[in-house]
Amino acid sequence: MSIETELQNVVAAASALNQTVRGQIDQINATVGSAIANNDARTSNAINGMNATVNSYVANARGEYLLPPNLIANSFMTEVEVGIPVGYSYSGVQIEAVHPYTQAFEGPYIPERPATAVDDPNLATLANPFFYGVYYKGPRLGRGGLGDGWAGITNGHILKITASPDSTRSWSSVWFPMARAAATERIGFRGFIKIVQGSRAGFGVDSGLASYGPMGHVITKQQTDAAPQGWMFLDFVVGTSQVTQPLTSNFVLGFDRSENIEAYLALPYAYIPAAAAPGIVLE
Amino acid sequence: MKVFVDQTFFGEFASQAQAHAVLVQSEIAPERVQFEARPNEARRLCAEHISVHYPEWKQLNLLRAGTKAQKDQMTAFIDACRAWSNAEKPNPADLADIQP
Repeated sequence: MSIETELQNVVAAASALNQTVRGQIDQINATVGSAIANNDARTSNAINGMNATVNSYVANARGEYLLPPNLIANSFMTEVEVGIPVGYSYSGVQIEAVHPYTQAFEGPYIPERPATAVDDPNLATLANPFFYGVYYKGPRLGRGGLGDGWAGITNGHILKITASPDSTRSWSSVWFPMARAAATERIGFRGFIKIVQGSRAGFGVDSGLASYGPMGHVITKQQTDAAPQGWMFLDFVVGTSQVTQPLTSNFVLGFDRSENIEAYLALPYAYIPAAAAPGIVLE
Repeated sequence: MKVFVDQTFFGEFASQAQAHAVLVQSEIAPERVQFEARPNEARRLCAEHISVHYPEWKQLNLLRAGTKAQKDQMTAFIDACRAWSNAEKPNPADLADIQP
């Protein structure tokens, strides 16, 4: 065999070996790739499964977590003095404790529609209530409410807030009877609000001060109009200043001083989120 | 506690301390401010003011063993405080001026 032929054989053998090795490499890559893909899918499935579990837990916990005691005293407004719920303060607006049938916050707990009932919930009063149904007080306090009902109280009220435009006044605000001392930088709030006149209301630091108007967590009339009978359920946490006296202007309900205001607030409830409190002392 | 600034109604506050905090924030000078206690608040302030000078144990001791002059002084003081709390517009500053 000539040297030339031997070289051709060597080249052919090397080429065949190269192809074999490349095939092996391709096979290894395919195997590894398949394993990675398989592993990715299993990992994704595991992560998705964990996410679903966590989301389900959060969704359930949201509806089942404990509410701390209310930082706002006289929330049901059972204590009233000269028409004002005890402990509530105001400047630039007028406040009044009114019967919970007002604006159809709740209806009477009776078997038949009273002859004096109104068809429009916006016109409802104690004398002319809105009838929700047989022994049904409506979607907010269906069976026992602030005015009557099964296991309800009979001496509760809701807060009516009114004001006329006045561009000179210092405040257009309502202060709640909050705990006197509590270190925090955020406040959680729940309750119902209905804005009949005026464009906005705000809950937060200095809300309603001078020309600043509503500040903090701001609710618009469009939002409350869209709620059942105009009563919007509030459930929010708002940042405040870092303070130890929430009682002052750190969390107030404020309005715009350039507008006619007629608004209603029911069942105000405030709490301090744990993450916002280095440690609280309630007094 | 009703608050008036330059004789104009400013607002009504749960306590004098809270009113002071809001007035300070509003940069309203103290000499422009007048206070008027709510009826129940006036009764509470009255009771507290009486207790500062004549706690119940002291009232009992004076009724039991005090001189006529001591009893008359206590009675005049308590009556003055009660008259303040029953006034139409009780001003807390006036209550502070009532002394035995």
